[in-house]
Amino acid sequence: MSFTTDRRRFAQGLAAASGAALSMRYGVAAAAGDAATPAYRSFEDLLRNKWTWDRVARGTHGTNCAGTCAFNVYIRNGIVWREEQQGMYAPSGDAPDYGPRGCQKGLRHAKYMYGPQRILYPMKRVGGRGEGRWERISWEQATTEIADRFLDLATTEGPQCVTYGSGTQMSVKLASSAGLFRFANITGVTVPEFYSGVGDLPTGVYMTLGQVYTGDVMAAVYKARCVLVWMSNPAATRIPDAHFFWEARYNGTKLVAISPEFTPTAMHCNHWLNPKPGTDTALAMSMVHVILDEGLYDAAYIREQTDLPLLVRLDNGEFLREEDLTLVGRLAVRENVYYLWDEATGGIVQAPGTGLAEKPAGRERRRHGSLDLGAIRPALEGRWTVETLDGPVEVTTVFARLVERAAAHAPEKMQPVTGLAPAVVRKVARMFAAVKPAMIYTGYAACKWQHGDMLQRAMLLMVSLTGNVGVEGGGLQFGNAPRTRGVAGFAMADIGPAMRMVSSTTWDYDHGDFRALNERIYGRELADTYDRYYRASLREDWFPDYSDRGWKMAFFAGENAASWRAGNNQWRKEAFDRLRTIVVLAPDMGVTALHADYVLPIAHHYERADVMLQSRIPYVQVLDAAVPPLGESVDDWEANRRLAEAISRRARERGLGAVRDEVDGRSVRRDYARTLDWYTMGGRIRSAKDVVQYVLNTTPGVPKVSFAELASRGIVRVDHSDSTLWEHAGSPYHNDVVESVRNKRPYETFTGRQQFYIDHEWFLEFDEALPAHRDPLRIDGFPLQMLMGHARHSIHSMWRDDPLLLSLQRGEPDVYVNPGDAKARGVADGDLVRVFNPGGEFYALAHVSAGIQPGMIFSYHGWDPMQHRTRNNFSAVVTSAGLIKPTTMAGDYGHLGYRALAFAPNQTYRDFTCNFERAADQQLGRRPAAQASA
Amino acid sequence: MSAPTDAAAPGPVRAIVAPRPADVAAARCAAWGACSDLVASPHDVDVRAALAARLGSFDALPHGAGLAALAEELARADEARLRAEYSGLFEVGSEGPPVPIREDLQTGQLAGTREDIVRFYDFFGYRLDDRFAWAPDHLSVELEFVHFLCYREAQQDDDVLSYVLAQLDFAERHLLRWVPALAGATATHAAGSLYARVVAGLADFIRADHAWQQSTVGPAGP
Repeated sequence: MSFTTDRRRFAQGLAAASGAALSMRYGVAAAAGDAATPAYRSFEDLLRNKWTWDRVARGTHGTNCAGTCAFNVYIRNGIVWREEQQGMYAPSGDAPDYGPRGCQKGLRHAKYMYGPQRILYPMKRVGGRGEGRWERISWEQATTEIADRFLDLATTEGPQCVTYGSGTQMSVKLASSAGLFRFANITGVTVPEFYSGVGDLPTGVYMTLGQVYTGDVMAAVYKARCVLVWMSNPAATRIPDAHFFWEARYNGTKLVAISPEFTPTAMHCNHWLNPKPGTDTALAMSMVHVILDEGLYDAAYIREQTDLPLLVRLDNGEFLREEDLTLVGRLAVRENVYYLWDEATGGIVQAPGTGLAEKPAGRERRRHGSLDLGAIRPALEGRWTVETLDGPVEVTTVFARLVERAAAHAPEKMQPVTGLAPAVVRKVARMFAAVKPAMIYTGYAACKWQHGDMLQRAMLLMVSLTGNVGVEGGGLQFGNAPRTRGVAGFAMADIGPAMRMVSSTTWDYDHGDFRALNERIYGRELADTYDRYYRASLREDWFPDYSDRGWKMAFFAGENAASWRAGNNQWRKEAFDRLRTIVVLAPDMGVTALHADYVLPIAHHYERADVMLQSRIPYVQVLDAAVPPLGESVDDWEANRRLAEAISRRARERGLGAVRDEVDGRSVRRDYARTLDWYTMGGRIRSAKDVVQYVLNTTPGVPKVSFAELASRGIVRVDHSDSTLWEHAGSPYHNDVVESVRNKRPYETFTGRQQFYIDHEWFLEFDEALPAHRDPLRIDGFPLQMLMGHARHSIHSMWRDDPLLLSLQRGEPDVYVNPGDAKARGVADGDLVRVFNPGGEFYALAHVSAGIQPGMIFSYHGWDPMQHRTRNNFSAVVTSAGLIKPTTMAGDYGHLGYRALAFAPNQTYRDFTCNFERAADQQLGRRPAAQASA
Repeated sequence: MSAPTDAAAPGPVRAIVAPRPADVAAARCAAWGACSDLVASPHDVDVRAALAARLGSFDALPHGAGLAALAEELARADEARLRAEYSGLFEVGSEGPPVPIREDLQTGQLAGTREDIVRFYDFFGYRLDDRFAWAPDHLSVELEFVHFLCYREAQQDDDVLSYVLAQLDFAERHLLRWVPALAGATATHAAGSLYARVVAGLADFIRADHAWQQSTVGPAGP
């Protein structure tokens, strides 16, 4: 309960007749003589009045399922009692509409938000870290102590040694994100970006297209004639949108599920391909081979849009560039001039769209350049001799080299790798290439393999060769993101850019000593090799070097980092546990909060104002506060405001002057006494609603509505969303690829084209100039590849511990194992098993399933360590965090080089193996509390 | 534990069959108010001062002796100790508080529990302040509601039978269903602690008061 003594009131004073005194601090009584209370004779009388609602609010769940489902939230007496789907969505074009949207998690939230896991009060650790001994403290005490710890560090070692980590719970709530970024911009704390940190950054897409946004609305699925659902399981993870797949199938679209395990999605598809884990690139390149070998490609499209007709030197494998031909080029004045072999003239010709200035000077290159071939007829295959400054050199095309590379991946050759029958692979490849539009709908698991970039490049080859990139109902459907100038603008308004955003993957590599992890797990040779390239990249200044920044203090908001970090045991031991101060801002308890020094209570989905903009549906969605935050929780904006207030107050009280700081070479003056003033823009921003309004007003493509109107309507359609394709520059989402295809604008790649060939020296050295299959890494002596996927009954760790949802599963964490593998280990369905490798171990129930291949195990993710016996979850055996493949650290090559949220190495979450055995003691540890109550 | 059921067949028409004088109602009103203070959060309320002002509230009741002693002990207790013990048991914890002091959580968040409570409150015009509305099932709130019903009974200028029957039913449908279990859980987690004894004393008080109430209510005559 939350109240103060001054709220105590004596509502009616003494009752003269009886001497009874009414003294109430929680309730307000109708005065005697007011509307008469009806006679009460039994509990049935309580039920005679119809149950009505005081208010129906609009809201959703600010979690990163990309659902953004509009809900009506029903309130009575200050309590949320239930919610239901709002519906009321219109369609895009002739596709089915988007409503109703929602799933069992969202429909459970009215109950969950009042559950025992809620953090209601600021807490301070009183025992050892992780012991779970807490005391409730006031916000003032908490923020004052945290501010002092921050100022101690900021004024001695610099604010960069303090991080403010956030995750997917934060990223989707634009006002909350904007507030966090503004706080970070003002204070100078380091912000590790989570996109690559969770292994979600599609680096292969960026390598190929120069940007990472390739997704359209979900209704685009309906427009496809063939969809490969690859590394994705929408029946379980895209519940509000899965209908588009099934409606498409009824409409004649061919659906092919591709996954090693049999998924709820696979059962609804026309075909299911089950490659061995980690062999997807081999499969993709097999299909590329079929498309090339059988002439199923769109020659006109690839001649214009891709680098496939560009000339490559046979002597060194590099593109033929101007530097090979002229002195001007040799002086590297223009290092991105590339050439075609023009069949019309029988000679080389500069490729249209190349030779344009790079960013930042060349921000307008897309406007002025063109891919239009005019009269040029580029050859796709052939060998020619070109006179260079160094003498005659034989050249060929990227296309010709691709034909060779793909031939090495012919289905027959890859059968031992993938385990798939060549006839089946050929059949699917032909099916895919035979129709337009065709689509690959993929998930982020494609980024979590060490060589996931090559898988994405191979997938893009499939859709590009068939002319499906930039086409409605086609292409590689990863995801899109709003061009949220509103969020960035809010973070920097009145201040300018002074924020430190860093790559989580390399930050962790440095601070978690992941080189040592690599050596322990994968051997010294790999560890030394990878580390050598890593250091070289930093030395060349291709990527920032964080190794000289200590890590002393961390805030975590909207993420449960200690639950999912790859290499978790190593990370906790070498980095997390060494932090002097850990502050967690969260609505619910989890393992990260368990290890914190301070825990600040944060409002849940129905208790806050915010706005969401997710590219899968063409609507902006409100979060309106249906009820005040429970207990003493506050929304993220307010929590950061209180921190800012405490920093300002303590800086003044301690007489701290401004601190000189430097960010990216720029000098920054940080006057911590003014933190609150900056944070609130001099008091103009008073609440999260004001932040929402700022974001709405400044984000392109979003109708300029007031927060009140948005809260009244719940959802508002965004601009230029008539079709299922994000095709218009006036929409909120990136349309660059469509622009390139339709209007022949150069891409933001080194070659200005869809770039499948990368002649960076490291790519050539590792034979990755073109994509190729690489065997996934294994740990000697541990035979089972472990895969994971998003769960049906949780969004990451959100709702993972809900008793009702647990009752729909096994009640506690489980791992799916093959019947043969289980039998060989004497394990029966439901047995408790120990899953282990040199990285660690965790315990879970065996879920014996014929849908799992031999040689693999599968775990739906999101189980918090606190739900497991011994408090270790899957992350204990994920040993791959240090696998930073050298080519993802490449730079000084056009578009390649560190670019936050676009090009950075992913933290790897695959490429390890483990084993399992029947647990020796079925009673090992206590049963987790959440499932015990279920 | 199951939620209060609405499926029971209507019982006999009930009436007050033994005297419930106004001074007894006033004494019970004071005692239930003190009960609410006993389990209010010392982080929010100056519990020691509140109880110090109510010392003697249990004196007029034959079954109040145990709580009277606890109220005195609590009124003299160290504030920091009270806060630490209360929040450590009832408010904060790594998997939620070890012993949630809310009926809904103690009884497994069953559908209908909070609705029944809120319907009681609504029926009798007891409306929670917006800041507290999220926890109508907090023990301190439920006890304040009983305090409120006793006050109305003591006024004797309304339909007294309604307030008498409501006290009885609220005890049976709520307090008796979970406070004894709360006492058991508190004793398990913090045997012998001040709050373990307070909650145990409350459970005894609720049972004793309910027994007395039952003795005053019976089937209506022909």
